[in-house]
Amino acid sequence: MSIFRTAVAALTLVAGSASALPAAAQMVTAANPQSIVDVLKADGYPATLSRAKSGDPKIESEADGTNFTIWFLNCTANKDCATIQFTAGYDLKKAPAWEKMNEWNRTRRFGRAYLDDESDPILEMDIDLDSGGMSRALFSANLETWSALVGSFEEHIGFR
Amino acid sequence: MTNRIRTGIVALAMVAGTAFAMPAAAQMVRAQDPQSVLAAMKAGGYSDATLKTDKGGDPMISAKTDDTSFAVFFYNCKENRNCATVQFYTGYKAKSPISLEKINEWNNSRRFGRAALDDDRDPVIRMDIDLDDGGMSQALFIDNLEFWKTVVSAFENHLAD
Repeated sequence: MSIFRTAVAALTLVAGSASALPAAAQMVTAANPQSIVDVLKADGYPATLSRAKSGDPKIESEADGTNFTIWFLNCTANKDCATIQFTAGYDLKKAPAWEKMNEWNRTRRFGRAYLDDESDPILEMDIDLDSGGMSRALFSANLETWSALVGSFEEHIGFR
Repeated sequence: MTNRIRTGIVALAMVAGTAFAMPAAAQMVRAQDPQSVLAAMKAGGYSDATLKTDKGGDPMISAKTDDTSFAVFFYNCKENRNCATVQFYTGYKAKSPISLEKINEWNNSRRFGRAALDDDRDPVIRMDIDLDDGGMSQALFIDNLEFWKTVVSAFENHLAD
């Protein structure tokens, strides 16, 4: 057994000389919520890992004073989740027009906007973190996109 | 000399392959490298995927899921190269007017795709993927392709409802 382990370590060293270190060690996956908490914190976002009513993991965070939630989805028995969804919602005195939401969805990228059942505007962004996940660098880029979207959405709906 | 180096790399890859998958860098899907996106689409079952250039000179790929043609546009390019992100896109000619409520209902209840009525009030569906910063593995890209396929057929059902 320990011979096998040594062999693997040696192989890793050999491979490391030809390319970057195996990516698996630093991948961000929905199956491992802590890997997402780690990137959030490294990028300067607060991150509190808890559970949704369903029992699936969720992370509460904040971008420029706006609270947002990262929901874990496509989970099996509250574990082994495959995808995540960023969500920010707003309670406005006056509901934005359907047209306003459509204008966002027609002209912007990455984020999906809609009016919920109470006519409150919601912004969502989905990321697939299955199949081994993605690198920290790529997840950070997505995080930056989300943070920028939140700001522009708030301007768009007149929240700011 | 070149041959010897190539042989050396192949040997290393084979050795590495016994312990874990091939080094990820070799098969990453990046918007910077449209060929890598094309190859991943073909590997994901879109054998008819074709790499072209859009009106602006940026790369684009056209392909077909079931009977629906769609495009993969490359974005955040610099001088038609070094693109950072892609967008899956397909649109429909509305036979009868589609309400914004209907589109909102989609966006309220579905994931991954973003629906809208375009300037002609025709329904369109889009899905964006960031393929910057070294890109993503072919496995993860193909998983996204599967989401796209589901989104397209569900959107068509939603419009037909």
